[in-house]
Amino acid sequence: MSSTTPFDVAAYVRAPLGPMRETLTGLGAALPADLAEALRYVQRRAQGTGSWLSHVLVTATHKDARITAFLSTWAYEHHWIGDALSALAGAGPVPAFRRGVAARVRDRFGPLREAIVANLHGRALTGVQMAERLVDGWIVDAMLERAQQIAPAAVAGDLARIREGIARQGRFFAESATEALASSRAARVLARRRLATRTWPIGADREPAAATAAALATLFGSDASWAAAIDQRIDALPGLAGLHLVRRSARKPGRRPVRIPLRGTLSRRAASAPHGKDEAR
Amino acid sequence: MAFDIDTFAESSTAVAWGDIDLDAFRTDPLPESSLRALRYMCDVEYHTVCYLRDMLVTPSHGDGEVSTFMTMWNREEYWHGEALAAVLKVHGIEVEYDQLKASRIKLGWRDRIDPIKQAVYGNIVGKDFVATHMSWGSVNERGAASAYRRLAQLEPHPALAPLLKRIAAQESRHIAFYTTQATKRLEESKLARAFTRFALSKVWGPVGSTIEPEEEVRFVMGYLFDGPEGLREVRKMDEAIAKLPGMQGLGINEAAFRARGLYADLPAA
Repeated sequence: MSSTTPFDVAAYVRAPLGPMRETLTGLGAALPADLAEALRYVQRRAQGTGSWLSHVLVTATHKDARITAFLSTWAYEHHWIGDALSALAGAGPVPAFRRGVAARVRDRFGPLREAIVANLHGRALTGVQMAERLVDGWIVDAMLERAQQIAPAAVAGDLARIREGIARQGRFFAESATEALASSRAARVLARRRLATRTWPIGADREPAAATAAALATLFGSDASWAAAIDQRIDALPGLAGLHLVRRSARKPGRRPVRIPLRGTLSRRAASAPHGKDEAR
Repeated sequence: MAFDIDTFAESSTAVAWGDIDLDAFRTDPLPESSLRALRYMCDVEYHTVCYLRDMLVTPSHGDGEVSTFMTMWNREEYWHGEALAAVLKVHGIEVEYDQLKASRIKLGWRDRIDPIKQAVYGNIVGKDFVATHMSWGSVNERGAASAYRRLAQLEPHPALAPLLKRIAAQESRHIAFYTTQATKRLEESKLARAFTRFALSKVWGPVGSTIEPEEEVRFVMGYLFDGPEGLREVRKMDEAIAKLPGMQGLGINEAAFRARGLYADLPAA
């Protein structure tokens, strides 16, 4: 995040990750059933970007042509990352999931609510969305890194390639999130609140909690150091110190965090001074 | 006609223009009127992500095939914008991210309310709204492909016409997807047919009319589609729309163009 060269969106959109099946070295390699299932879990996250995009593009973010150019290509890359993971993991059942009434109401009215709320928050939401995807990218990368360590060498090579793509996307999100959070107290307050109250990784709320739990258990077992490492990276973002949200998600995988009374007040206080200064409103 | 979404996705590419000698415009530039039409088309292509937004708030994004298509379609349209921007740039007309941002901000409240309206319609009509969305897309893509072909005829510049034909070829694949989906979904539901007919006849306007000043819409539509030949093309579009289940007799393109003062001396159908 300390790089001074701005992310080159024009170069990124010109050379995205596209279809990879033809060049996968691990195609057909036998994978342990639980690892294949964990990769299918990541695949479903990668190819389920529509719901997140529907919440993002109804906000002021869609006006920023540089961001929308990036996101158009990012969605394209995610489609093909999902396709490659699907090819490596092979076919498998999609976990049956009966969404409750509250979740179905959220599905149906979520974008509508967001479209209305977005008009109140304005551009502060852009910082939140960029931070969301940054954190999500870190979680997905940690999952793939672990999968890479336990997969056969041929598959590990393919996963490394996919991780390079995710790392490149992460540079954009890191730059955009840092810039937006550093320059707006409203963005920091909102980011603290929203990041702390959502399910991780993004899209986990569209699966049974058991599917997220199984994927994390397969990849990390009882080791929570990966979550602590990501929390440390989040702590370094302007105004987001002390959220511990990945460790909490790892403890209760796939579950939506409980709303804590007074969190809003605490968030406002914690967000007021990123790295000891509050330079912009 | 079946549409294979996997084949479409695998063959989806950014439109290429590296082999076209754009420097030819330096010695043989396009006239002002064609540049104005190209600028309009470029804005519309770049604006696709905003149309995508309006569609994502409806139940459409929950459908796997539709979602895959929209991902590829959105990227292809973005590159149409880039290709047209490259042509404009040789003529000294810069279309940068900041300008696009400024023009999106200029849309004001209408732009903020659009996704809310779409989400409300989507919630009222439910799954059948996907049929409306697909029919709407079919009409718009047909309009775009037709506009590119017309401009290529009117302006047979050796560096422009091949590019426009490549873009039109991609638009034709989009038409195939939207029309296949629309036909299937309209056949299955009376509510879908009724709502789509209502939306097309009462709410629809020519591509770009929601984001461009009316003066530009009139100019570009007149430039591309005026006169007997233009009317023939417009009627071809309307005939294709009328073949969609429940859309018989609709003449929305001709009506929209006549409302903008075109074909005053030509008899109505």
